[in-house]
Amino acid sequence: MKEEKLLHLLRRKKGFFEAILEITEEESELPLQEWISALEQKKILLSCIEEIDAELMPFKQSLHNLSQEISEELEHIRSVIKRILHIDVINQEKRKKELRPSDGP
Amino acid sequence: MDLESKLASFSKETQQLEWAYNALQKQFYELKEKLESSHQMLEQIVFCMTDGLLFITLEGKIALFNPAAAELLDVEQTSILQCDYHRHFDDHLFGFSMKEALTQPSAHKRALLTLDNGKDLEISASQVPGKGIVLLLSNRSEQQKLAKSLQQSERLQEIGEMAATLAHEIRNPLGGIEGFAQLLKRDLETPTHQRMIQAILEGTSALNRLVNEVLDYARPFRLHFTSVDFVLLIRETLAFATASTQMAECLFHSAHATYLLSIDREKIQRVLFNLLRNASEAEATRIELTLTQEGILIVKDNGKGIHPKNIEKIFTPFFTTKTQGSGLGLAHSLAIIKAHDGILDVSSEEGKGTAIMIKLQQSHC
Repeated sequence: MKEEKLLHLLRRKKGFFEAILEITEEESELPLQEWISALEQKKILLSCIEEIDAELMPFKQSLHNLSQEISEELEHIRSVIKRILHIDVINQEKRKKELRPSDGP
Repeated sequence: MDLESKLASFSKETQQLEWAYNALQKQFYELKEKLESSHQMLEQIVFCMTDGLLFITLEGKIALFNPAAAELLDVEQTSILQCDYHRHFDDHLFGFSMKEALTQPSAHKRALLTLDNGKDLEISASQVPGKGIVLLLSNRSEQQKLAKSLQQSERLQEIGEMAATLAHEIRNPLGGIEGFAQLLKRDLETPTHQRMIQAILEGTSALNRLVNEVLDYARPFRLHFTSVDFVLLIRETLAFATASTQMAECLFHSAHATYLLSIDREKIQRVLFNLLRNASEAEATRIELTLTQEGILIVKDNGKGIHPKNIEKIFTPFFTTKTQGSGLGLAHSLAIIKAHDGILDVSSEEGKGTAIMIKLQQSHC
């Protein structure tokens, strides 16, 4: 029962990370103003993940032998985060260049 | 790795993402603010420019049109902004085809033209690649007026120098004529001869006065500033003027009991005296002097006034409509006021009278 609940929470968490990944993959093509909205959406999704993290707290120490399904879910989340971080680095470099004030009067 | 450490690592990465997103957002808003402030400054500059500025997009829309351009082209600025250029202006208004200039790459264009409203403009058009055409309109009428004024000022200086040389040349023989006339006056006894000699002496005396006035005007003068109560100076000048000449009725109103200025007392008194004498000679029966709260002295008379065509010439040396005048009084007065960094202005209505306004800088105090 506990494991089912944990799996459900991890899947929800994965779903939010996947939503962030989807936005991250598309944001590089967005104009500046729309990109800021996308950034805001990502922050909202992150706050949703934080809420799930709070729900995950009771499970942290209670489960030691993780099932195959949970391990796979965790691995999946890890790969999504890695992908987000990778694309984010590229996107942020690009945006920082755009936002750098040009030399002028 | 157990569940706890895995979730902890996710939390760390999630936090990293949040920090990065927050930092980017902050940077964006800071730059947006800077951009808006630069944009505002640019708008103010364009708004205050004395030259006209227009920007026509490649689609032919008027994207920028400053107030100076509106004034030069006699149109209302707000009514044509973002409108189609060809709806309001002729394709060749600026001496080239706007359609062609917007569709074909072309070099920087310059043109001089006179608009239907009589304004002479210098046009400078440059292409902004991929965006449109920027046009700069300069009012040549203004430039020409300034150049003319400079030319006139140089010409006046030459006239002044020449007049001073002539005055010197006249002065010596004039002294001789006056001396010999005095000798003849002593030796000739008949009344006819005496009348002739008297006429010569009066003539030389008038010439002497003119020569002195010319030399006075042409001589560069130095001002000796002292602290003077302007109200008292006006009262003293009025008393002196009314006692020494046949003067019209003079009234003086002052918004100040005392008004201290650092001025050359003697020269400013001379200006005041000149103005009072001019008013009297203009057949005024009443002269009103007013010192306003702002320190502006207005000398207003009800004399015959000045013909509109003569208004611009009254400060020109040797210009006079009087039979006895040298035409140097007002020119000299203006030079004195200007040397005080002051303003002397005149307004007049023929048949009704003249008002002269003098403003002396209090910073001299």
